[in-house]
Amino acid sequence: MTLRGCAPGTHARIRRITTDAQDRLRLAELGFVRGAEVRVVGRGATGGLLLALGDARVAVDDATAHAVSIEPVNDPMNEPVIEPLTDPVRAAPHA
Amino acid sequence: MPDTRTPTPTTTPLITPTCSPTPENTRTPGAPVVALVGNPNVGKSTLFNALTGARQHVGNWPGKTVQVARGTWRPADGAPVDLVDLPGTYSLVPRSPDEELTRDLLVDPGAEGRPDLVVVTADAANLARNLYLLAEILETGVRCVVALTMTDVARGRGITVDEAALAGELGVPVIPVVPRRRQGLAALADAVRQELDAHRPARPLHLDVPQDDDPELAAAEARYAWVHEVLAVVRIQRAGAGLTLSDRVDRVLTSRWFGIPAFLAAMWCVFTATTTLAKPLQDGLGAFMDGPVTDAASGALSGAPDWLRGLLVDGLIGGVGQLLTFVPLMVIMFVLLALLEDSGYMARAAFVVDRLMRRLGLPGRAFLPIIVGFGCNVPALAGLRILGNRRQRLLVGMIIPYVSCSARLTVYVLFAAVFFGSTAGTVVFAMYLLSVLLVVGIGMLLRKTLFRELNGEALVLELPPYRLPTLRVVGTQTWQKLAGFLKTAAGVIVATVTAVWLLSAIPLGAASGTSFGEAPIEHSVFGAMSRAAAPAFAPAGFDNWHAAAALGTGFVAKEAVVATVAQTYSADEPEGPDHAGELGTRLHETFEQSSGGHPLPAVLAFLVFLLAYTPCMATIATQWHEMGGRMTLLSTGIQLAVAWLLAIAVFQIGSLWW
Repeated sequence: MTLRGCAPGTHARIRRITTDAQDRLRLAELGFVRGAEVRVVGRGATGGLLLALGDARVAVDDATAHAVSIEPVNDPMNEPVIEPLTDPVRAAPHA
Repeated sequence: MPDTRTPTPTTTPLITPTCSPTPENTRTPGAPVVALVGNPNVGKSTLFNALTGARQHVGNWPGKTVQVARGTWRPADGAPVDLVDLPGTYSLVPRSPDEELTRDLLVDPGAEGRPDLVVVTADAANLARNLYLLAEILETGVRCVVALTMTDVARGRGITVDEAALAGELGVPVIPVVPRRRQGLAALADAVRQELDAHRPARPLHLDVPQDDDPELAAAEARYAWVHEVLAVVRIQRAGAGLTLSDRVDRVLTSRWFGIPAFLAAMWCVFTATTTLAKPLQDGLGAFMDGPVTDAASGALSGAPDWLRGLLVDGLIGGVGQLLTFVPLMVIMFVLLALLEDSGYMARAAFVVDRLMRRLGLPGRAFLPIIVGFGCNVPALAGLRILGNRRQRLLVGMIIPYVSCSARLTVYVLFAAVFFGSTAGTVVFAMYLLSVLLVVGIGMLLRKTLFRELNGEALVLELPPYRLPTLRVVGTQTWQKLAGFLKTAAGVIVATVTAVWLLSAIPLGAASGTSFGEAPIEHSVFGAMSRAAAPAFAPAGFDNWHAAAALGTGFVAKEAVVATVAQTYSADEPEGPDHAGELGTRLHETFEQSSGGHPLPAVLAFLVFLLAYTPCMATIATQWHEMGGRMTLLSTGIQLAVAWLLAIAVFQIGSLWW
C-alpha cells in the first residue's frame, strides 16, 4: 500500500519510494528513507497529505504520497490505525 | 587532511553589491570569514541579524546570481569577524544556484572565498533533519561550531537535547542560542574565537556507505542511520507527545472544510491592507508633496528663472512625490509578508492552494503576488521573494504585469463610460477576464519555452511550527526590503518623471517662440514624440497623437493617463466617469476619425493595449531590483509585443462587424 490512501492518524514505516531519482533524493534528505516512520497528520484542503516525520511536518502532493510504499505499524502514540493492513479498494497498485 | 589554511582572507572583495550605487564595504580587512549555514526556517537569518545588526548589506556573490547577506560581527570582547549568511539549504547536493554556492564553498578546499569556519544552525525541535546537513558538513572537514536554536520550542514539546553529549558525539562545540532574545551570542563568539585560534587539524566525518546503484541515495540513508545513532544518545523526549498544538491548528487551517475559507480570509486581509488601508496614507503623502512641499519650494525659488522652478518643483518634486506614495504601500506589503512567513501560515497557504495553482502550472506560493497585483503590481513584484526558487521568481515576475491593477481600472472606467454607456460594466469585467487569461496564457507559453524545467515539480514542503511573529524580526525584514526597494527604484522613478516633465515642457515647432514650460503639450517635444509614435497604432485603429500621448504617460504611471488625455485636449480633467462632458465628445471624434468609422473596436483595442503593456515605471524599477536588467528588458519587450499584437487583433476582428 502507499501513503496516498492513508487516513489521518495512520502510522506507517516506509518500504520504498518510487519517484524519479531527483525527487527521491530530495525526499531522502528530508528524512523519507527506507525504514523511517511517518504519521499522517491530516489531509490538505485540495488534496495532498500533511505528514509528521519525527518532529518535522512535511506537506506532500498526492502524486508524491502515491509514490511512497509503506507498511502500517502499531502506533505507540495511542492513535488507532484506521486503515486495515490490506484494503483492496484503497491500496492502489504501485510500480 | 591537515589544516594548513590560515585565517587570512583573500584580498579581492568577495561581494559586489549589484543594487547599491555606493557600495558600502562592510568587509573588515584581515578579519576571518565565518559562514552561517543551516536548514530553512531554523532562525539562521535571525541569528545573522542579531550578530551583525545594521552592519550588513545584501548583494550578489561575484559571478553568480545568488544573493548573499554579508556583514561584520563585532563580539563585545574580540576582533571583528566577517560574517556571510549563506542561503538556507537541506543538503549539500545542490538543486539550485543558491544551494550550489553553499556546496562549492564548503566542499571545494580551493574555492575562492571559502570560509575559515562555519557556524551551523541546528533546530533542537527538529534535530534529525538538521543533523543530516551537519553530517554532510562534517564530511567536508571544514571547521565548524554548532549553534543550537529553538531549544525553547523543543522544551515546549517535551524534548530535551543534551548539548554536552551532542558536542561529544559530533566532536565540535555546540552552543545553545536564542537569537530573537539575543541569548547565547557571547558564548557563541567565544566558541568561534577558540576554534579559529586552535588551528586543529580537521577530522572529517567518515561514514560507511554500502554499494548501491544510486550512490547518493545510499549515502543519504547512511547519514540518517548515523543521525539516529546520535539522536539516541543526545535526545530525550517525554512520552505521550502526540499531536502538537501546531498539528491541531493545521487540522483546521489546512482541512477540507476550513482550508479554503481560511486562505480566502487571509488573502482578503492582504488585499484590503494593500489597497484600502494604503490608499489614505498614499493620498496623504501625495497631498503633502503637492501642497506644502511644492508651495515651500516655489516660495524658496521665487527669484529663480521659470525653467529652473518648473524643473525642480514640477519635475523633481513631482517624481519624489510619486516615489514616496509607494512607500506606505511597500511597508504594508513587507510587514504582511514578514508576518505570514514568520507565523508559519505562508507554507500552509501554499499547501492549501497547491493543487489549484498546479493546474495553472504555477508554484503554490505564487497566489500571493498575483492577488496583491490586482491592487498594485509594485508590491506584488516585491512579494516574489516568498518563492524560494529563482527560476520560479523569474517566471511569476514576468506574468505579474498582466495582472490588471487598480490604476488601470480608472482608465477602463472612463473610456467604457464614454463609449459603451450602459454596457460599460461588461467592458470593464471583460478587461479583468482578459487579464486572468493573459496571466494563465503567458504563463503557459513561458513554461513551454523559457522555463521548461519548472513543469510538474513535486510538492514536498516543510511546514514550520506556528509561532507568534516578533516585532524585531518583522521590523528588520521590513526595513531591509524597503531599503533595497528604495535604492534601486528611487533613481529610476524620479528620473523618468523628471524626464517626461522636461519633454513636455520644451516647446517645439509652432510654439518655439514661447518660453520653456509655457507651450501647450501639443507643441512640446513630448507632443512631437507622440505624433511620431502614433502611426504604429494605425493597424489597431488609434493612429492618433492623443492616444499615443496617453500611452506614453501610462508608461510612467497609469494614474496619470486620464489627466494626460484631458491635458492634450486642453479640457478639464473629468470629475467622474459620468461627467466626461466635452472630453467625451472630443474622444468620440478622435476615435471615430482614427478608426475610419469603427470607434468601438478601436477603443477596445486601446484598452487591451493599455492592459497588456508595461504597467508603469515603478514596476520596471521593481522588476529590475528583483529579476535583474536582462530579464526586465525581455519582460518589457514581450509586454509591448503582446499588447501591440492583441490590440491589432481586437481592432481587425472587431471592425469586421462593428
